Amino acid sequence: MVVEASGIPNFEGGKVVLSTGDVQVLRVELSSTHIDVDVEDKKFIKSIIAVREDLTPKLSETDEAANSGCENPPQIGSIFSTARSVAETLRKRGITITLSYKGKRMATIGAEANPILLHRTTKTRGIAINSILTAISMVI
Amino acid sequence: MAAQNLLQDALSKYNQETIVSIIDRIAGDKDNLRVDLQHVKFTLRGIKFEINGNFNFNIKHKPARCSQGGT
Repeated sequence: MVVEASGIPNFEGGKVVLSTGDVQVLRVELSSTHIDVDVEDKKFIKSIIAVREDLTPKLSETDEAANSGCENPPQIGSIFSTARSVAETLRKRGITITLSYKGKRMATIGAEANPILLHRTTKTRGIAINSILTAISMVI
Repeated sequence: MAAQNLLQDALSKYNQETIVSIIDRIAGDKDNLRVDLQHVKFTLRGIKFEINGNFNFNIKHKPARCSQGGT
């Protein structure tokens, strides 16, 4: 089935700003083809990731016991694979997501990503790192 | 009014406890979370919406439990 470059279905655009303690921590600008995420507070993003982990269904003790024998930590390959499939879907739909930290663009995913070398590793032209230094400064 | 009911119906599908938990965790150690929506335009079941405004959540964190040492 061929997916047309249709942008985000049923969505025209807008802007969403999140603030905690009266300080802006995240800005999201949306249009039918672009999602621009600008992170102002890295602590906030880390708490979002923690929320996601908390909401993931936990294994029961019996399941944990059953799985303790097999070593199955999260594979870096599966993370790449998920990122690649998301990026390819975005490209087919003509959607671009940009991630910025304090106004500096870190990464572009989707239609307008223009990787220089990264596509050799990721096997997709849908993921580009625009500033590795900005990405590192957000993670640390 | 039909549009308001439609939006309310769509929102009611989400688990309220999960939403409260997410809001609480997103706020972190701060006591408020504000979400500003500016000209957010979308179509739901054929009806066009434009949302302008903000949600301001005042978070009352649960006090940490004290361990009760007994003799």
